[in-house]
Amino acid sequence: MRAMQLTINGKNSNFPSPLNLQDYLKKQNIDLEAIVVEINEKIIKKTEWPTTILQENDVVELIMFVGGG
Amino acid sequence: MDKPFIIAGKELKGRFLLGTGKFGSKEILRDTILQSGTQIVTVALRRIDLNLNEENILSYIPKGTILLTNTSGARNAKEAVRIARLAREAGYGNWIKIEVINDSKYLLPDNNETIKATEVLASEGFIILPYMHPDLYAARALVKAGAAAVMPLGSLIGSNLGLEMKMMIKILIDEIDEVPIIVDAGIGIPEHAKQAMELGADAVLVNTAVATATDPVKIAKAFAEAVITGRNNYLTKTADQSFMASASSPLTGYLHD
Amino acid sequence: MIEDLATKAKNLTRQYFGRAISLYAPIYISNYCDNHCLYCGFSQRHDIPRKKLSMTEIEKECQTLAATGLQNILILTGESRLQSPVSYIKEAVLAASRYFPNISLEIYPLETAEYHELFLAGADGVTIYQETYDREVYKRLHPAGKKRDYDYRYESPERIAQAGMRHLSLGILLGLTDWRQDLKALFAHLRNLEKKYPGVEYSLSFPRLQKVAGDANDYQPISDQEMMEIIATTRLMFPRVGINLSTRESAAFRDQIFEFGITKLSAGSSTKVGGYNDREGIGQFNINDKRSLNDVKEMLIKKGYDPVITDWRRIGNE
Repeated sequence: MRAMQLTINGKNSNFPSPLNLQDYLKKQNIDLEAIVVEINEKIIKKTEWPTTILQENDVVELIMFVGGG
Repeated sequence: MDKPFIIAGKELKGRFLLGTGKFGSKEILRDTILQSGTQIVTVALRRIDLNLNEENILSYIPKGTILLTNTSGARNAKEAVRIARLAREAGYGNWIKIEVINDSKYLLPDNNETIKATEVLASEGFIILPYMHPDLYAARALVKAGAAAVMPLGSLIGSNLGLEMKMMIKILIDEIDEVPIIVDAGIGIPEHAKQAMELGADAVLVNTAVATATDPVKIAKAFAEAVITGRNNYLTKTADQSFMASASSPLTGYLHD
Repeated sequence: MIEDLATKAKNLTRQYFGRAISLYAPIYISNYCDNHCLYCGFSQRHDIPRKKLSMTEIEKECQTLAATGLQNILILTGESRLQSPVSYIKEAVLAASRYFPNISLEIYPLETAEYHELFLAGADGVTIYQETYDREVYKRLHPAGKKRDYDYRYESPERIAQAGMRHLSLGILLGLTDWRQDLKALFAHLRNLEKKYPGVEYSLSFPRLQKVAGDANDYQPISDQEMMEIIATTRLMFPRVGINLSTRESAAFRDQIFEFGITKLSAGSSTKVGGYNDREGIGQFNINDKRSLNDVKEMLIKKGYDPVITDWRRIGNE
């Protein structure tokens, strides 16, 4: 298993490669229902999560709704 | 007696909109929404903090409430557009409050960037409620760009100063017929909301004054009532004027106060 | 109560217009008219000498008027595309541009492109009165000719604004019907235009009908007091809109009333075609204030007003 650098929500870290997006998300403690995923500023549809593999140097944003004016 | 309050073809039950930022707890937010009867609430999008196990705020917002996603955080049109697209992708509708602020001192909205963002998002089918600094040219441009409403600030966000922009808002109310005018920001006490409605605004949006109150539920109800009272006062006043105009002495009907 | 209204109107006028009063004069270049308007001296029904000025004659009129110091003129024609086509009007505008920096037109309704052509030639304003907004009365008073088309006339201001004209003057002919209804409709018309074309400078006129020979119709004469009410009310409703008063009104009345809302006066006028050089002919209406431009200027100065002969110079219409 190789390692790769990913930036997730602004934080740079090493991750095992290959890494499936859906698998990664499931492991986080978050409600997948209401989140949006962006990879390299491109929105990844929910339907595409299971088939998306994260690549070296990908910049990932995980976004959710919060209270706001 | 009142004509319906309609945004983008959707008729709304009330004229009091609520912002969900700065609340102490999600439970209080839920009660506030329920008790005030508000039908539209604003929400924002943020990066998830992976260390917290934050609950999904959406589960605290009653079903049937319209979510108006605020593009807060956007400093220019490009960022606002990006946030709007994210909101839509999340599957919670396409009602967007465009808020473009590149000013951390006063939190004043950038009308130019807001117009640009409106143009792009309107062409993508979003229902846009832009937050703006009351300027007639900008309001016209926003309408032309496809905005479904125009939301001029009453006074600076969080200031609770009420209708500092009263004269400018009145001009928008008088000159913009095509879309509703919703006064947003700076409304600090129910009296401010009442005044905004008496001026002729179609609705008001309140956040800080409710969220940071000792008893948000109570004050939200007071705001909702003030909005109704203000609207009724406005309708009565305008009805009087047109009645007088058709009476034998047309002059008093024509004279404004 | 009318005193109160009058005072408010006077103060508002002072506030928004200061003590400046604009002066202008009409130049009738043709009285050929295809219309049969019951109330008008130039109607087809009247067997009056019809005249149309040649370009040389137009130049002469301009020269005569320009010599008085006037810089603001209103060129008028009757409605006849045959006798006074747009090309003729355009030539007149081009000629007048050499003498006057401000040229307005009171002509028959045109298409947007035609108005634009005249704008490029040097005209920057158009005057067009709906006469009355009561469709029934309108129909009865305009039995024949193109003016019969209420809607085409009503929509003209939009075309004028779209063509780029900077000044637009609307009005109603007082006496045709209940003035209160017409005033309301005029205000609504103006309000809509203001919203749609905010960059245009609007003004209103309230000519009082003068019955012409052979017109057996019943009209509703407007008293001086009602005239006062109309002007003052207009000022209150539209603080920044210009209000014109022509020489149809007597000198005494004009002198008394202008402070309560008037911003533009015609002076030294003739409503005859070629009337500045030729005493013959029949005017469109009787001039009741026969004073010369200088006399009117003197009166204004005496009352502490500034007679403005021209208010801005056109660099170029494009």
